[in-house]
Amino acid sequence: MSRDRKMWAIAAGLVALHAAALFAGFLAPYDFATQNRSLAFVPPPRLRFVDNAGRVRLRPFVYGPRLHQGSFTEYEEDRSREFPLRFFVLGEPYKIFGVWNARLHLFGIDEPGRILLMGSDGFGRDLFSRLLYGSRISLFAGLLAAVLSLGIGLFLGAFSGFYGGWQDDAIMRVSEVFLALPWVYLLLALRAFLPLRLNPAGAFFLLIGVIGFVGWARPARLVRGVVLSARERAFVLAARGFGASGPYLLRRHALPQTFGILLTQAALLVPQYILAEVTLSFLGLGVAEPVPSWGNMLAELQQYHVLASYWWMLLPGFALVPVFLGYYALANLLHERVKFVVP
Amino acid sequence: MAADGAQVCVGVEPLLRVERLSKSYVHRHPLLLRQHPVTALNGVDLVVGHGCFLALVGESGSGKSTLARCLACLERPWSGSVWFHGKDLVKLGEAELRRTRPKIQLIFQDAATALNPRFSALDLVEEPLRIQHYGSARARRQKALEAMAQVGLPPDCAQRFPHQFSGGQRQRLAIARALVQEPELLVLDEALSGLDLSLQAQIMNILFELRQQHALTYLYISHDLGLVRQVADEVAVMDGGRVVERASAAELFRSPQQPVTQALVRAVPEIAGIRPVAGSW
Amino acid sequence: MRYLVRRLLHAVLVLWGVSVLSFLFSEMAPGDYLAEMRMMPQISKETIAAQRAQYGLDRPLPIKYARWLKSVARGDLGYSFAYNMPARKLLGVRARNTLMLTCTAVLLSWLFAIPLGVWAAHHQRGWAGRVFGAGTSVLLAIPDLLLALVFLMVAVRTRLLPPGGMVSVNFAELTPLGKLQDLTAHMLLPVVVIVLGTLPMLVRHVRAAMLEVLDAAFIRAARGHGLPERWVLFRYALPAAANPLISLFGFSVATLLSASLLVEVIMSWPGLGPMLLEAIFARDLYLVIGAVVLSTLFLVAGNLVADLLLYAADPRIRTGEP
Repeated sequence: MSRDRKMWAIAAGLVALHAAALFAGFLAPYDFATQNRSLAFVPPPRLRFVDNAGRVRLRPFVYGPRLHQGSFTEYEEDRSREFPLRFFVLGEPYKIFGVWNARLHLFGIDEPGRILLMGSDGFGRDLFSRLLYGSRISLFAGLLAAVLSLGIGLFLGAFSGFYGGWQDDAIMRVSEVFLALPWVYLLLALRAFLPLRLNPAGAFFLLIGVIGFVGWARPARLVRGVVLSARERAFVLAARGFGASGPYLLRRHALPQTFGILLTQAALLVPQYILAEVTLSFLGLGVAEPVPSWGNMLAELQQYHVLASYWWMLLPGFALVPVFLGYYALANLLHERVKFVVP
Repeated sequence: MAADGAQVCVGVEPLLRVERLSKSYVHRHPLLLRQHPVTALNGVDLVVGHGCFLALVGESGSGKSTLARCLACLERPWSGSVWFHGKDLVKLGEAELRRTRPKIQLIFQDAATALNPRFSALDLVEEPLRIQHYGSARARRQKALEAMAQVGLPPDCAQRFPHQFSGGQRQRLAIARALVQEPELLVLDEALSGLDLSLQAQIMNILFELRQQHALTYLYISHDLGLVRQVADEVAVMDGGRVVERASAAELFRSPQQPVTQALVRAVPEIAGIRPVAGSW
Repeated sequence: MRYLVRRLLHAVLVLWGVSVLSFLFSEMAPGDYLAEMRMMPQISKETIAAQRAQYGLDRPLPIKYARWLKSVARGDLGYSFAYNMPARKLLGVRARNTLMLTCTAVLLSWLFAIPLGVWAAHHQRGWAGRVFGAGTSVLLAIPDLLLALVFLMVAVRTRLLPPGGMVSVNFAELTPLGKLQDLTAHMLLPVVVIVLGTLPMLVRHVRAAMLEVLDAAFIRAARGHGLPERWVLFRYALPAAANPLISLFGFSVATLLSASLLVEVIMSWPGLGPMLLEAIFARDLYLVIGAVVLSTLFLVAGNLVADLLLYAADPRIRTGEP
């Protein structure tokens, strides 16, 4: 596949991922908050095609969980009843984009069964549903924070590189300080001094602000470099000879040169920022219960007994890997492409 | 012919008068306080007459490019004056300068870097008009296409990009871009240096035609005395940031006065039998 | 020499900038430390009064900062409200533990990265190169958080390694050798996770630097003379690739420090990371600032080491214009 095709394919994949996040209500069988204390820490079920009597079924089904005799924590399959997997079922109500009410879900099983594709957590909540709802927070926090960082970086870098002078020196010194700090420490320090308990919406935007603010330095320096070299180019000089003003030169000649770099930076920053959100939520400084984020879903693993016995709680962590692979592959392809663009 | 053209420059009201222009560059090291001043222009005096084809020659580092940029108001000299239409360009404010800029245009040596590679040919030629808010979009387009036609670029190449043109065509594009602003003085900074002889001839032809049609004046900066000898009316020699000799082309090559001029003239290779396309000018 | 002085000056300036930044951030915090302190029963009234006097807690920001700077100059890093003791002792121990981890991790990752990178550059063509590329890509895409949790889970389930912490309960009673073994056993997991996290990026950079150098004429000449390949790679090519790699060293220290924070928290290693976290939740101002400044100090020190190495390795810097 040509390089461009590959790029578009990966970009399409990422868009599909984010779309899936937006349609979490439809794709997830249950809401993220519905608890069921009697089904705490249930392992993922086995999808079966062959029933008790040895007959093969076309439609896969699952058995419900039943507590092992004499145990309060170990489950086994209850073979007395089969729950076939149904598609396009009506289930718990949810809102599309927070506006329209709907009840249609992609798949589900009959009551009183609960299909826990990835198992359940300590409160009996479906991990798969929470993963989908959590992706809204994690994926978009990363994306929006990257937009913020790039915006600040573009503004400061362009200003710094084009006009020079003491402002340039000042901005560069400050950026060096930001770059000098280990970013996780900086992130925590900044988060430390802001209110610790916030409602979910507030927490979400605060996260975006903090993460985006921490990372402005590198994009700013890159943009400054490009603008500096663009400023000296003959065609900028020529335009000045036609009477062009500073802002015009910046807008039409210097900044377009930065788009390639900004795009590549975006592809690199988004996964880092997703990780930043996940880390903060994991440490308890991000989005709080009951709203799920991939980070706070992993937080339960800090308890010894969870880590020892319930491996499926780790699954949200693995969800990060394909996201990262996609963004890094895109960044690589973009980097190569930008290199070959006419300078 | 050059000899006839020399008559044009003599005894005519000057278009441009440069008086004691000086400029130094200071290399500022970021952390040390040491500064190394490099003198580029050391009191340049120059007069350019209407309609003249004045060549400015000299070794590398003699200050030719710096002078070109100062004349085009792309750099500010430290001291001296540039008199143009009764005003000192050095002292003009931004607003007035903007009005004067179209009249003095600079053509760079390398057209590939002087043309923004992301702009189409039409965009490039229209740009000065856009910046100066000239007329309607249609009027601008019309004027741009006219200028392109005058340099021999047909309208069907309007949407092509600089990298799709040849070196000679790019330079013609740059000239068209300067032309749309109805300049009076065109400063060409080694504008033909990168091209082969046939292309040089072609573009020289165009320049001569344009000079007739638009009453242009040329300040042609070069270190190629072979070419200068064939096209210039008058020649000024620069050395160490100053103009050291000035004469009509014929006289300069017949009897160069200054040692630096003599060295330059001696260095011209006499290639017998090679002439540009006959009857060109 | 001037180069070194300049780099030292730069480092000091950065540290100063970081301290200023931290104080500025702290000023943004809602709430008042004095009020919160008064609400904590374990802090006596006398202590509060002493704190206010000494650190100027109710004075404007510049005075607070000036007092803090003065204290730091005397070696006093402030007071921990949560632990009710001077911050220096707490920070000192934790800093030492973090250093233990990060220094070991830095050494090990570079120890592995260089030969691996050279090997990868050498076998660039063919299936080995592609496997290498794919392998590093996958490893890069696995966040440290996940790696740490997975390794810890494996350790907990198999009981092969201690599940976190720095020393066992009976540490004090062990022989010196036993102590060393115990410490190593506890350090193994965190170090492995940190190294695995940074190794792919390092190896890639070493490989890229080597590839650039291997193209050069003097390498081909060396090979043409019949010098053994290993000699050519390590005695000719690698030193030529040293410059970008030494710069990378400073950068790798930064990533390692960031990675170590998370790993320390997950594996209960008593370093600066967990301390910072606790201090944040306890609103313990001076502990937070101290931890941030110390971590920056380590980073800056790492960069200075890189500068020193560059000075020693590149004659142009030694003799060139300062």
